[in-house]
Amino acid sequence: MTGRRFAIAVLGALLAVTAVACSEEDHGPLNVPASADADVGKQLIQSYGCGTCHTIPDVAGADGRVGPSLEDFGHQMYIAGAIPNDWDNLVAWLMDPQAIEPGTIMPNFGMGETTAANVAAYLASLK
Amino acid sequence: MRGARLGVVALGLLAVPLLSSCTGGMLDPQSPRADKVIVLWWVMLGTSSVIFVFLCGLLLWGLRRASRNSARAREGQLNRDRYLVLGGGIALPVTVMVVLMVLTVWAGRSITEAAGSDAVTVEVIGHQWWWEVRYPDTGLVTANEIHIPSGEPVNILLKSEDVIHSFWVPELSGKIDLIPGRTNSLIIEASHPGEFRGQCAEFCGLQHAGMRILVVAEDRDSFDQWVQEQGEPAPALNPADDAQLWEGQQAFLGSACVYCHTIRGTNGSGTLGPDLTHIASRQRLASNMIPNTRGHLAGWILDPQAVKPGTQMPPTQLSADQLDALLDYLESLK
Ligand code: HEC
Ligand code: HEC
Ligand SMILES: [Cu+2]
Repeated sequence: MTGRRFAIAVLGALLAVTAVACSEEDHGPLNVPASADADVGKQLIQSYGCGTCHTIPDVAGADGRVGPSLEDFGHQMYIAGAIPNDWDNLVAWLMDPQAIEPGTIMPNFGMGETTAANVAAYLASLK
Repeated sequence: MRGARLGVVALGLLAVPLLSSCTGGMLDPQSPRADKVIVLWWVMLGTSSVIFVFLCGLLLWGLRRASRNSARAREGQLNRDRYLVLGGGIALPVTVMVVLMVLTVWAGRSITEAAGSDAVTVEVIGHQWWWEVRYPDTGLVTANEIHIPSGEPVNILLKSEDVIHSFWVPELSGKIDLIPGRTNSLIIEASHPGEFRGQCAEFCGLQHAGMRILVVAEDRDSFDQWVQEQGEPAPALNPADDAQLWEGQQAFLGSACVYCHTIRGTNGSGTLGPDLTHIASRQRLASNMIPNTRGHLAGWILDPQAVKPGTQMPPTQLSADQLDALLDYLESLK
């Protein structure tokens, strides 16, 4: 019994170490400026209602299947399969998706740059 | 044995403060009428608790006594027992029942007490799974959000278009069923301005739990203004001045929406779904399931079944331009 518990503890510790090691070598394409606030972004996502079209981790009721799931979006390489997922592109996408991908059903929310940056900061944190 | 019983009693006692600490529930009435019902509720709970405990005690006492001198019941004791049976089995229950009945009649009367002839009347019609709301005095039609003047009794007439539903706004009143082919009535009164959430309280199919209602009580002036605004048809548009809104209106009139929804002031006069003439003025969508914001609205239009599986509204396929224009248009219907 204690033997098994010990083994589980060791395994857990090993896992934790690997997880830390993994996140250290993380080099996502998104460099979030300090001015963008992911918590505010999360609230914005909640109030716009992005979650009725997208599945978004940690946003209540966000299990929509109209558009792609945004799980792990911080690691994604391209936005809408069209442009590289870097900071400026993501902010531009949120401000006017149709300018980047004409014909996409993702609506224009009329976001200003600060608003889009906060939203982008939350999306970038999804890893 | 003793432990289990204690556990049950303790649980019961715990449940009371838990229930009463829920804010915005039945135990926290915001209406002079619901106040009386809650008095009755507490009196009944108190009386039955006392009787319950007393009976349990009596039972235990009887069991112990019976096992001690079972075969030795004598004539005198039988006589005493007869009084116990007559007193405890007939006189006491009759008294308790009469008192409770008087209280019930008092509470029941105050709930159904007629509102003055100038009181506002609201017709609430249940549909699977949303609420149609009509104000017969002014002819205005809306859905899922009832506005009432605070501090005044309001007549609510309840009907159903399909199956039995039940109207329940716990802070304002008890529940009353909406029965097909029949009109039930109820009077509600909010003692102060505020928002009160309600819920269908009679199982009516798949989305029964997704059939919520909101009552907004406001002062008389705001209410009158609301009635006036809601009575207006949607503004007429012309393609030269409001190109985007006009596109949106065309998207509405050119797709299936028009068969089910009314927008007064357009050719859209469907009645299978809620009236959308002032959809942008409502706080929430889909019978109060999701907030009324651009993203939710878009998601609802494209994939309502994901929000409310089973809802009578089908998904609609639109082009990007149509969707954006339709959203702008619906958001302009204040
Ligand atoms: C009407 C449904 C709808 C709503 C509402 C919506 N989106 Fe989208 N979104 C889409 C669709 C569809 C795509 C896929 C676009 C494409 O590939 O052209 C998309 C793509 C995206 C992408 C790129 C995803 C990827 O995998 O490339 C991001 C990021 C995004 N949306 C964020 C948001 C945010 C943030 C909101 C809320 C402000 C939002 N969306 C609201 C439908 C929606
Ligand atoms: C077959 C009939 C039908 C069609 C077609 C239809 N709807 Fe609906 N719609 C409904 C019903 C029924 C509801 C109520 C759903 C519920 O709450 O369960 C509803 C609800 C709505 C609501 C929410 C209203 C509220 O008060 O909560 C909006 C907005 C809406 N529809 C817009 C549209 C638009 C825009 C279209 C066209 C693209 C459309 N509908 C097509 C039947 C329809
Ligand atoms: Cu129901």
